[in-house]
Formats: sequence, C-alpha cells, structure tokens
Amino acid sequence: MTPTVGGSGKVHDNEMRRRESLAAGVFLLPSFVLFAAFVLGPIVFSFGLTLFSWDGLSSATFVGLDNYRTLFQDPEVHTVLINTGIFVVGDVAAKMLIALTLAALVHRFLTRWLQTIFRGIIFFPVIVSGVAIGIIWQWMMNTSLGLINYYLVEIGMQPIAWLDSSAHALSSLIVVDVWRSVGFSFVVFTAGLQGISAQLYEAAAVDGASEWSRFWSITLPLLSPTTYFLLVINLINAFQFFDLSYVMTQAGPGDATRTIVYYIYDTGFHFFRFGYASTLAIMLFAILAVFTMIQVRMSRRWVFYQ
Amino acid sequence: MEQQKPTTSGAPDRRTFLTNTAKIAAGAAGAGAIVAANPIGAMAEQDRLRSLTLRAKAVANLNFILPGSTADQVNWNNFSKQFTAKNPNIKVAVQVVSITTWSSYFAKILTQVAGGKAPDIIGIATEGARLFAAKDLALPLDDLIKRDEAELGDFFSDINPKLISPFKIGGKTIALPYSWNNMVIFYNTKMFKKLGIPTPKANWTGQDFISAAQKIQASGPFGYGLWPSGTFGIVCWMYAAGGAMLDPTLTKSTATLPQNEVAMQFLQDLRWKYKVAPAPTDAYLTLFQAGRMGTVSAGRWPVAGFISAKFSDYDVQYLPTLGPGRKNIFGVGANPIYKNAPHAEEAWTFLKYLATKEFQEANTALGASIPARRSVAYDMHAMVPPHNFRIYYDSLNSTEAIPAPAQFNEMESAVTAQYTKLMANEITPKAMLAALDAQLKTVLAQKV
Repeated sequence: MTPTVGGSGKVHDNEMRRRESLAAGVFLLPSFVLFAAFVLGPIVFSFGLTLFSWDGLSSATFVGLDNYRTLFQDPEVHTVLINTGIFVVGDVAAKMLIALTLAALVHRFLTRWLQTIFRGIIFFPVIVSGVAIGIIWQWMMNTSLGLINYYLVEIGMQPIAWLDSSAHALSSLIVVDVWRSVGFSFVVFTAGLQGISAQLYEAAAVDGASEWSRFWSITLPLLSPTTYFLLVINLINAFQFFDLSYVMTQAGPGDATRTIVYYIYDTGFHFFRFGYASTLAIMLFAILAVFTMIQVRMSRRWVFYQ
Repeated sequence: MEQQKPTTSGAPDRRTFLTNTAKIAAGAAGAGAIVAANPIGAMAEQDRLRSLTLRAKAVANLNFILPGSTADQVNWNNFSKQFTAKNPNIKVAVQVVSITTWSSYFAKILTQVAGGKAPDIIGIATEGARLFAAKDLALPLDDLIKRDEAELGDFFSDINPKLISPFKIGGKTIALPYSWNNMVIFYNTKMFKKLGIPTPKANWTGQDFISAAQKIQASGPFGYGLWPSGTFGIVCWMYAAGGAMLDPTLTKSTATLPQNEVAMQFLQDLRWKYKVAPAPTDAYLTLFQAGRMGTVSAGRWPVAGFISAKFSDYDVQYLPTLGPGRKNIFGVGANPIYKNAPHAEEAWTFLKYLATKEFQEANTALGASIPARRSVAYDMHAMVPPHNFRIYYDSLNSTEAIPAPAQFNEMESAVTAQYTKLMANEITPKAMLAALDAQLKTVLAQKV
C-alpha cells in the first residue's frame, strides 16, 4: 500500500513554507533596513525635493514642477549633456578596448609569473586616491611647467595646452581616467579569459584556425558576459565622472569639462539650490536607467552564456 | 621627565584621585574655619566660591573655523592657548581650512551648518558677508558692541571705518574686522637689481610693468604669475583700469564697461602677446618664492609662507595704473558668531581678544594679512617684510571693496569660467565681458 499524501501533509508543507519565508524575512530584514535607510530613502527624498526650492538651511518652499521647467530651459544642461556624452563614449570605448587588448596580450604571451607582476602594475592606479592622481597629472600636464610638455619641447615639438584649452581638456581627462581605471576592466577581462577552456583553442588550432579567427570566434563570444558586465559598470561610472575634473580643471576652461555630476555638485553644494540639484540628479538617474535597459535588451543579441 | 599615565574611560588615576581628595579636604577645613569665625561673611564667601566652582566646571568649548595654511594652524593653536590662559573658562578649538577660492570655502561652511555641525565662530571675508546675512547665519553684534563700548573704544578709533562697512548689513553689524587684504605687486628685488630694472614707483603704468616683465622673461624666469581663479585677483585689474564689475548697489552688472575691457586685454596680452606669463597656476606663489617668477600679485597673505621659507628678496608696489580713475581693491577678514552658537558670550570674548592690539601685533609679525588696526599696520616691527609696507594701509584712501553680493558663489563661478576662457585665448576680452555680463544678470536676478 502506498502512503497517501493527505490534508495533514499539505498543512505541514504550508507550515514549512511559512516558516522558511519568516526565516528568510528575518535574515533579509537588516539588509532591507540598510537599503531603505541609505538607498531607497534618499532616492524617495530626492524625488520629493524636486518639487521644492530649498537651500539646506531655511525651510523648503513648494514650487510644483518649476524645477523641471527650469531643467528644460537651462542652457547649461545642454552643455553638460554634450560634455558628458563625449566623455562617456571616449572613456568607455578606450577603457574597454585597451583593457581587452592588454588582457589578451598578457594572457597569450606572458608567463604566469610575469602575468602576476603585470596585473599588479596595471591595477595599481585603481587603488590610488583620485585626488592624488588628479594633482600629479595636473602638474604633468601643465602647459608651461609640466613634465610632458618639457619632453615634447626637448624633441622639437610645440607644447600642448592639455588642460588649458577647450579643444584638449576633455580628452586629457579621458586619458587620465582611462589610465586610472583601466586596471579594473583588465583584471575582469583576465579572469574571463582564464575561464575559457584551452581545449576549444586546441580544437580550433587542429582545424587550422588562425590566431585572429580563434580570438574572433572563440575568445570574443565567450567573453561576451564579461564584456557586458564591464560595459554596464564602465558606462555608469563614466556618467558619474567628477573627481578628476574637480581637481584638474575645475570644469574649465569655461565649461569645457563640466559634466552632469559636476553641475549637480555645483548647483547643490555651491549654489545651495538643492531642489534643482535633485532634479538634475533625477535626470541622470533616468538617463542611466534608459541606457541600462537598452543594454539589457541589446545583450540578448550578443551575449552568450556557456 | 615623568609622563602622565593615560587613564581609561575618563576615570581619574589613583594619584589624581588622592590629590583631589586632599584638596577637597583642605578646602572643607578652610571653609569650616571661615564659618566658625564669621558666619554671615562666610555664607557670602561660600556663594561666591560655589559660583566660581560652577563657572570653573562649565568650561565653554568653542569651535572656530577659518581659511589658512598648515603654518596658520600652528599659529592659531598657540593663540588659542594664550587666550585660554587669560580666560580659563573658554577653550577654542581652531580648524584652519586650506582653500582655493572663497566660494568653495563658503560651500563647505554652509554644508556644515546644514548638517547641524555649525562652528561657533566662522572666519569669513567681505566675499561672504552678504551671503551669511542673507542666510541669517550671523549673530548681530550691535548690542554687545554698545554694551562693551568703553572696552572697544580704542579698537574703533584705531581702524579705518571702511574696514567695518562690509559687515554692516541691513542696519546690523555681524562681525568685527581683524585683518584685511588689498592687491599689490610682489616683485623680486634681487632680480630687478640684477637686470637693472628701476624700482617700481607708486604711479607706474601698465607699460612700465610689461617692460619689467619682458626683461625678466628674457633672462630666464617668468615675468609674471597670472592669478589662477577667483574674483579678487581679476576684479583688482578692472579697478586698476578705473572699471568695476558691479554697480555700488551690487544689483547690476557693469561688466561691459570699456575700462574692464582694457584690464582684461592687458591680462590676456601678458600671456599671449608679450608672452611674459605662463598659464595660470595655483603654484604661482611657490614659483615666485623659488625665483622662477619675477612678479606676482597678491595681498599680504603670502608673507607668512615667505617668512617660514626664509625668503626675503622681495618688496611690494601698487598694481600698475591701467587707466584714469584707478582704484585699489580690498577685502576684509572677520569672524561672525553663528546665530545659534550655544556660547555666544564666550565667543564674543574671543572676538574682543582678536581685536586687541596685542593679538594683532603678534599675528601680523607672523606674516598674516594686513591688521585692521592702523597703529599696527604702520608699525614696522610688525609689518616688515615687505619694506614698502606703508602702501597697504595707505591704499585704503582709494580702495573699493570687492563686489560681493549675496549671490557671490554663483558670481565667482561665472567670473572664473569666463576668465579661464580668456586665458586660454579662446575668447576676446569684449566677448568675455559680454558673456560675463549676461551671466551676471541671471545670477543677480536669483533669490538667495
């Protein structure tokens, strides 16, 4: 006789599920409290602030949608969006390409021992303070007194106004930011490369595939989840770029290196217009959300999971 | 030397405990003897002692924030100790903050206030006076000044009234000036002598200045160090040409005045036409001190650094005249008391200490900015170097305050942005001033 699963068994299952849910809730509670206090709360508060005019000192005044109206009429928003767009494209593309190239070369040609040293060297700037990096590079890139121009002049070239001209300042910041943070992408790409089975390359080599075809047909597709992850992270970081511009160019010359986050900082903490600063922050949030959604959608076409 | 052992959790160690117990016992025995001898007088004495004890226990801890350098921090710690030695119930923790522009400093202060960590006393300058008044952050001092009129009479008779004017806003006085700055040219005397450049006279012209800078540049060092950013070092040149950035009511832009164009053209030419100045750099004073720049413009604030670096090959002269109706600029340092400071009375005692001749002499001798007191500003023991120090206080006869409306931070941001474009040679002085004018109109229309 087979045992029957009667009503009492269902009750028991339900009881078990209830207890598990309760336990899960208890375990999740501390995280949720922290999330609510430090993430959700400030987001909701920021949304609320967009409807007010507030200087952080006196009481806030309800202004309805005025801050949103200002957002669409503010010519500075146009400038900072263009600057940020250029920075994001240049910074993310350079970082991804350089990191992938370096990771592939190091993985392919260096011994394990040399790989470790090389990884350490490339990753080192990631752990250095952005302000310290900014100060050092600001001195190196100084038009009249900097180390880089000193050597350019020594070899008979004209000095370049790295940080003092609108034509070069943003590109100079991209160069420094890529130098500063390419190590992170490099390490993640290296980890991705190490996860690809050597057998696949051996099989391809036996079939006569060239080095380039192996990279194109095996490495790149199998690295796509890593590439996707880095693309999302680097894009978000690039949109939030601030520190090097603050230290090295103070958003100048003129507004040449003023990015969205710089403008949010100035509006909030320099001009004490926290309502409008929150509106700008919400705009950035919306831009990031849209870009991330596009990436998620697009990823279905080009990201392959083994 | 015996070192005192640290105690845990603030509890007294055995030795301190025994010493205190002995003191209390001795005090009690003394009080007992007084009571026995004169009961009524003893009661009064007891009240007085009790009051003193209570006051001694209630030490007021003040927080004072002001801009400055690492060397200033050491000096201020010493002044704080000297003040506490005279006023044992008041301790002043001084926090000296390194700044690049006044607006970034005010941003820091207001963020502290908004975060509920307002200092009791806040070092500001003319640049922040109206901003602080508009935000209603400063305690009006008029009643205290009136109450202590006799004590402060000497101070008020020893200062030029211009120095307190920036802090009289809406009929209220929010601070007492203790030091100030104008803008003068610092020049390397050794370099001038070596190159045969005549000692600059008070009425030297822009052309005289360019000639001197060209000779210096030709000999190796840079002729002049351009001001890196901020309003003070830009508007001073407009004043030197007889111009102004705002009208006297600080509500209208006068940026497009032709005199301002002369001044901005002069600065742009120094770098791009005459090539006697490198790109503006924050290190301009260090370069001057190192002998890599022949001239720079500043107030008296670099003197402290020059003294500590034992650099003395310099003197000062007024900015060259760029046009008729030239003026000198000035900005005053003062220390408002935060309106909700819990120890306002004690903070006021500290402000009165900063107004004393004794403090101002000592502070000036360390190389601080120009003292508010006339007698100290003309005292060569306190003011040398530089040797031509008399031009500092003399300049007050023809000075105009830095334009500092309540929207100072926004204004400074606009000024710096346009100035950096000018210095990058990406805009003509005329176009720069037109753009600045448009920005200033928007900024001044904003409610603070």
